[in-house]
Amino acid sequence: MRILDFQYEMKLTFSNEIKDQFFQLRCLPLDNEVQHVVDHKIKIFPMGIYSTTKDGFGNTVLSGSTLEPHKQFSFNVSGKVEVDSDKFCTDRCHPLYRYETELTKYTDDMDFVLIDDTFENIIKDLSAQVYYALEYKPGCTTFSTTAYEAYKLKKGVCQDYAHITLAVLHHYHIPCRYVAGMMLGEGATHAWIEAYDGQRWYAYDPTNNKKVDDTYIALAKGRDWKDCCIDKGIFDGKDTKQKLKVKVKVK
Amino acid sequence: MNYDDLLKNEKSMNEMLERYGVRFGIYKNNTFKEQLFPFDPIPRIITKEEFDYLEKGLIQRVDALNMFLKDVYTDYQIVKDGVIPEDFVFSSKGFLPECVDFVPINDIYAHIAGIDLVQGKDGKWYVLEDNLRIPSGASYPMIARTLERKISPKTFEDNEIVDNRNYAKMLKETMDYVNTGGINVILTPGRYNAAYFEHSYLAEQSGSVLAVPSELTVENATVYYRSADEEKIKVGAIYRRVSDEYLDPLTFVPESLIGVPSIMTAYRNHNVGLINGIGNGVADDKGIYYFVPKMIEYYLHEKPILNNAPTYLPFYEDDLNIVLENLPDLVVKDVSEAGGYGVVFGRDMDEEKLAEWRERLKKEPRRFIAQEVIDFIDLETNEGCRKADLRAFVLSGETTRVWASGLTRFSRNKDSFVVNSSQGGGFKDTWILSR
Amino acid sequence: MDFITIEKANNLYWLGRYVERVFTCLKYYQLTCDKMIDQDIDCYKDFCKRLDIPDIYEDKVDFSKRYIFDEDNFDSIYSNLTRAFDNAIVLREEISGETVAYIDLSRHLLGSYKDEPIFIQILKVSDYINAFWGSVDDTVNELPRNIMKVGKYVEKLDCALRFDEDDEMIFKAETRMLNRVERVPILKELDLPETVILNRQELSELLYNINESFEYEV
Repeated sequence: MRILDFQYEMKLTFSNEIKDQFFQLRCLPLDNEVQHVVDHKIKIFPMGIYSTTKDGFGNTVLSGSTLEPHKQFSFNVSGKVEVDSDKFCTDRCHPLYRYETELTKYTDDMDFVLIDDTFENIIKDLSAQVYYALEYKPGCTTFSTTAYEAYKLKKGVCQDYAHITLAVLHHYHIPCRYVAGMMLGEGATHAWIEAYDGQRWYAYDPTNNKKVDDTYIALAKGRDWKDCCIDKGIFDGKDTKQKLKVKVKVK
Repeated sequence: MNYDDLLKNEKSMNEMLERYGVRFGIYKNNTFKEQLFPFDPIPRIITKEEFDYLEKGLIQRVDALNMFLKDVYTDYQIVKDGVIPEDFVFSSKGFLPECVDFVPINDIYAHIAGIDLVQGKDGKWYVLEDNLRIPSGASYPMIARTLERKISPKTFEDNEIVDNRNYAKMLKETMDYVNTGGINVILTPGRYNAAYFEHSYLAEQSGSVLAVPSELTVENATVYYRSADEEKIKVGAIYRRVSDEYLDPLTFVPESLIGVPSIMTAYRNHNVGLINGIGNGVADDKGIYYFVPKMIEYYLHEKPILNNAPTYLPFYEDDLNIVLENLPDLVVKDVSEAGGYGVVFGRDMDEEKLAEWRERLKKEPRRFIAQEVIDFIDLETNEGCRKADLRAFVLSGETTRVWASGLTRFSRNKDSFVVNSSQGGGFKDTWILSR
Repeated sequence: MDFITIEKANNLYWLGRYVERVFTCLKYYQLTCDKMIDQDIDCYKDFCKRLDIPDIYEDKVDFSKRYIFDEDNFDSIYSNLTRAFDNAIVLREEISGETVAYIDLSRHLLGSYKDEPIFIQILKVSDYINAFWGSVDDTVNELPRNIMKVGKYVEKLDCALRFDEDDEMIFKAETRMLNRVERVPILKELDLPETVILNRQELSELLYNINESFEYEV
């Protein structure tokens, strides 16, 4: 068990003044059997109002707006989370987790096999296979890169590692899901996977080839990146360019 | 039944329909055109006994469909109990993960259902399709009747026909039932929508405010109508005629410019009633249609009153074999298509085409259904005898009610079975006799 | 309902303006046609100049037809009716289907060829417009009605200025306009004259400012 301090900050800078900005964020840590939010603070700049709701996967969604004209926007969540990775999630495995999505489609040339072992070791071994099959290289894939595209490139970031792992698990009819979150020592958001053995969820991080431990904080779960989108927004502004900076700190 | 006086005044009737802009829009070569919806003055007549029977069957059907929607978005007991295969629910395009574990106000998903029926030559009625998303068409018989009564009062003195002009009131009551304490709004994508006439007519008749998405805004998970003097008027219920995927750009299609951002948050917090609910597509696709009679037995423990058209699901091996053997006599429908598209008749296929389709059905069994071709009755029109269907409107509020009228559409092409207005069909008034 | 969105306020204002433009321009059109019989065969050129519309007409015969019926002519009466209709059609529940119908009827009347003197056809259009305003008075709520009337009198005054009407007529149009402007809350920011002004330059500026309060979008 461990108590982690976390901070998530999203900063948007616009090339000219915009108004009527609406945002939807999934940046509040989940409260479940493994982690518990001890306390948290939310700051919005310049000002804004928000309300919370749950999405279909049980994630907390903060949605709100800043209607007044502005050129900069930031959203800051900080707080403390108690993490105990000796425990595990046993929440319902919705049938949706048995179906692949556009992003997690399996193709026959994906060259992975599942070993014949305990469930935990199968997942562990598959994570290792994905880890060694790919080279970690930011910038060559985007949010909409599918598992197959990343697999062909043999390169990618955490999101791609997770999508490929999920594609393989689906192929072998193992229910599984995508987890978006934060990790100690990482300056950006992270992603990993969970697989369900009929009783409980096993969390594994193929990007780092390791079991998810007390240094991870989960923000959202879903079938793929799209379901777990951490920040989304729209605004009213003609020909406006925006620059997004996300800072994550876990201590 | 005597309606000669009405037929005599057909010209006046058409002039009046034109005067009030009874049109629907179509896109031809990328330009928007409005066309008059051709009206045929010979009414479809349904006896009281027949209507009583239909009414019972429709209420039963829509009640079961609403229970099904609640079930699949919460505990999916019907799937766990093996009544419906998981595939037909969770891999359906209409199943929206965004709606999982959410139950709308008063448990109603399909407040306004449009059930399409045909009458076979054997006299039996068959349900062809359930429309639980945004079924349109009620405005046409509403305005037609209003005008008919003015043009030919005699016809309505001489015959005992149930007045159908209560639809606006029924609609208002349906909206009020899920209204959270604000104004009623009809949300239209805009005037270049095919059914714009209907949106504006229903708003006028039901005393609702007609709004385009940019006139609504969401604040503190509450929907407001943006008044010009900056006052915010709370919206309690929205009869939205914008489809699910364009409703909230933050939840669904992000490129959508016509939605209301964060409206989903207001909906999920029960701060606004949406009519119809989001995610109903899972209950009205052609694949799930097969299971509706089973739903009725499962949820209501009753025998289904209305018949489905005899349908085979290639997904089941026994059914697949029947389909492969009898393909020339069947009609095959693509589960994911609507509006008369994706429908092919076996009788129109040559040997090569038949073989092609047999392969296809074997390869993609989940994608298609096959039905026996119902020989449905022709209705008399001024252009001769034509195939026609009936869209019945079922409104669910405090109780489930069937509107004593409906939209009778007929095919304007002599040999066609397709009666869709987007494919050139016309309409008739539908008279329900009061005794 | 005594609330209205910016979009609807714009539609109401422009509906009022376009309907009045059709009505008033038809009057000046008839005066022009009369003059062209035996006084000045080119006086349609003056008509175009005053309205600040391009003179695209070959001669008086061409003008007398195309100014009314030509759908490809942006400035024709038909085109102005179409713009009125575009604003009316999105206001059905606000102004009633009955009211919308009069605009639609006028448009259809000019849109389909009839072997009938032009005078009779435009007389019918004027009749429909009078019926339109009667229907507005009867069915439209106070706020939307006032916005429409602001549009109506802005247009009336604008035309009066363009055709150099005498002070009496300007006075009348201006009084009616101000009377409505005062009753529209969204125009409260406007700097209104204390008494009626007859200075034509100042009046044009006032009209410009009112117009600026309503955005036109198609």
